[in-house]
Amino acid sequence: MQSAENNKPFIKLFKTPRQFYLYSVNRNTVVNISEETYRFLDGDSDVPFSDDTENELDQLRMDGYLSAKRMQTIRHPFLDNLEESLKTRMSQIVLQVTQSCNLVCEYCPFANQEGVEYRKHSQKKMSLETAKKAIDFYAAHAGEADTLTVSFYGGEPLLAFDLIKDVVAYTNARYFGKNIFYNLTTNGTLLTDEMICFFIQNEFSIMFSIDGPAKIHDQHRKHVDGTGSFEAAKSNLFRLYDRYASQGIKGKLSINMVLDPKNDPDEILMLFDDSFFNDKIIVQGSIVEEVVKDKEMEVSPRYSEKMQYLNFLANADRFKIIDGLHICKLLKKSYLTSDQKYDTLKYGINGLPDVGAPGGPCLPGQRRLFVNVDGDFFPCEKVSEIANAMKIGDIDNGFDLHKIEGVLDVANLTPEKCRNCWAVLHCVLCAKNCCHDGELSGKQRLRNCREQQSNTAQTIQDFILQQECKTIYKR
Amino acid sequence: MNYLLYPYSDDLADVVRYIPDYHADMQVSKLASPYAWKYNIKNNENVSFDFPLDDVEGVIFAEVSKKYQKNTLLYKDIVAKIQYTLNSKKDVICVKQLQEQDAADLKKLAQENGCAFDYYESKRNNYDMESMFQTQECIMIGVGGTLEEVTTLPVIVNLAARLKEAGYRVTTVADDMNVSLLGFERFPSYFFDETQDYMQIVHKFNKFYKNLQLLHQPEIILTQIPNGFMKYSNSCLENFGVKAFMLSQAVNLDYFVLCASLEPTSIEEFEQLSEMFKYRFGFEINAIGFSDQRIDDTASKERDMVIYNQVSCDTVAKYINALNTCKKRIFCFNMFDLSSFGPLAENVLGELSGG
Repeated sequence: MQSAENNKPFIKLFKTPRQFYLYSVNRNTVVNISEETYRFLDGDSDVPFSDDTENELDQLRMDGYLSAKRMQTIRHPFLDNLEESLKTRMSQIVLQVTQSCNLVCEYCPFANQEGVEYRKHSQKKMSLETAKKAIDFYAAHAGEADTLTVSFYGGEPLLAFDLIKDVVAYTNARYFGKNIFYNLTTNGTLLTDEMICFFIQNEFSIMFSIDGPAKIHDQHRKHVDGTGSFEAAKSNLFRLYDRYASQGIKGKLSINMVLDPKNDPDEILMLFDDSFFNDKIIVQGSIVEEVVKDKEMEVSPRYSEKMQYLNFLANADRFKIIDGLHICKLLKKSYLTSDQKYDTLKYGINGLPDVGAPGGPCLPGQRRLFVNVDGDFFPCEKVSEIANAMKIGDIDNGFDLHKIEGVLDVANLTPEKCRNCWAVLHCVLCAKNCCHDGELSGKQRLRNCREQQSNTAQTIQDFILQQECKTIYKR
Repeated sequence: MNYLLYPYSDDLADVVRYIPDYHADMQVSKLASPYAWKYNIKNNENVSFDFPLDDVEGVIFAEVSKKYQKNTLLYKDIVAKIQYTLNSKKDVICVKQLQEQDAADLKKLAQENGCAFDYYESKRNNYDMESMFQTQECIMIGVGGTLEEVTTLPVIVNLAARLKEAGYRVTTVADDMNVSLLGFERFPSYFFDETQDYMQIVHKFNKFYKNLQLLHQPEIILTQIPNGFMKYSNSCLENFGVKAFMLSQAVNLDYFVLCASLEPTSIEEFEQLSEMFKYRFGFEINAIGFSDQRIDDTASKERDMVIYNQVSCDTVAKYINALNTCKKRIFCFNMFDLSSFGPLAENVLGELSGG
């Protein structure tokens, strides 16, 4: 039996200074409505109910925008073909070649900080035997894929350079029929000429971790003696870039910035005053809070305020409201992702399915299998390595399908909430966000709901702004 | 003559099946493929190349699919195996496109060893004729994919065979080196030359088809349409529709088969697509061949490339059955089911004879 709540139109209302809108979950699109209709739908009993309003409501009902339909069952669609999908189409493997590191970064999950129980810090290295088994397992589960993507992760993977060389030699010799891609994430401080030659020869894609200019970077990324690592990382990056550029493969280099919201964004973004970082290299960013989720992060008011302002400028540039703005490279990168989201809102759907699940979880094990030094499997390198729920198998016993089902069907921790959530189609929560004390927890999942709804609302508002820029703000 | 074929993958199954129909003296008795492919070969009968070539008179080196054409490790492996074959005094049929220097070196090596090196790339016919639009007199059937990676080869090879069996003279054109083994025509190289003016290409392309008619006197020309018809997203364009549009300006298609992955699309939506094709390309969709793959949207968006997941044969059968019970005019079939091609050929002939 449906509750009264469930008989209400499944919609979310939005308004801008000049216009009124409804977002229909069943059509996954936004419609411009009159103020009277908006007020009526918002439960305002004083709204004068004219023929025009009634006609508009009738039309909205007829077109399915006011449908009250919810998914009847929350169940991830990939569950139906899970075993088959895992057999043939694994797309990437991430090998944790070592757990040791030459730096002691303050926010590092290996650093055993208070409140951060993410990974075990040790001097362990992966054995060649384990690495070979992992590669064989991957190839055996990627028969339908035309590429093999092998990523090396740490600790600091360059501490295990000899192992990396052996793994590459093994993979090239045995699996040359596939297109093989190699990735490496490094702090960059240990790079040698021998390594550079090897990386060029095998066309490695390399991601350097650089958090900002020296002042910001060195706050966290320190050597054991407490000195900062920025200068070493930067000079190695420049050296590598020159060599890659001479081979025409400079596009394979990038940097990842871990942004600390305690800092002033202006200071972080001063990195781009250097034309190398601004013009030459691909940059992506993640917020330190996302890296160490369990720990409450300190966010400076200046950070939030400034980032909102930068987002506003980015929209002004993207929607061509103001010409000639200088937009931070980090924000420009998000344009494409936003465009994809706008496309889904533009084209819409014809009603929610009876069975489905919020977006979010990838197919664990298939997308980016993380294999730690001991040969244990995890859905990716971002999850807690000591969480029982996240260990989805190991190199000797293969995938643990039961665990994978749990990680994939994570929305079933909170089925009622998900069924009735207006942001259900835009939610990106995965098991990583639902893990508490090593197990999957509905309570933990719900802690992140507000953020998901807020992000979805922001996407819809930006989409509306884009539409208004094309219509009422058209120059 | 018995040949070994290398590197073999399942998309060559139809070509291998029909080689004896086109070459009475040629038989593929062994298949070999790189170790890395062993998991995606359905019958899993592939063998390693590393054995003495005593049981065969020669080796056919097939072209690899587009997705592997930039794989330098694989290219080096193939060149090394051609050298090994020639040094073993065995003939080589090389459909694989080689770098000019490698081709010249291998030709020389073949001469030194006194064996044949039949290099198909050198046989490409560009049919460059004077500029004047030519009318087409035979029936033209086109086969194209929704997106670039959707295979069309099973439809091309099997439909050609069924139409031949039905007694028609069929000339087939395909953008695939390997079908040269079946005597199929390949697209002229200028069709893919991005430095040429589009209008000139369309003109030349029109002549190309006219010349095929003059040369082979076919009753039917069956042509593959290169690249996809649609884009996946604004960042994954899949070369959408450009070649299709050029081809549609050069010739008129009488029947069109669309090859598609198995997405949850209703027959009504396909009919709308057909309507759109009519206005954009000048032909409608007569039949749709479905593969056993489905786009993984989440993965595709994350990786900015189209990623497919396998679906079960049962799912494909149910889906096609549901579409065909709608009694609409688009004929739907499973392109990996050999028994589909008899009914497809009947549908083609029925439609073209006004039945």
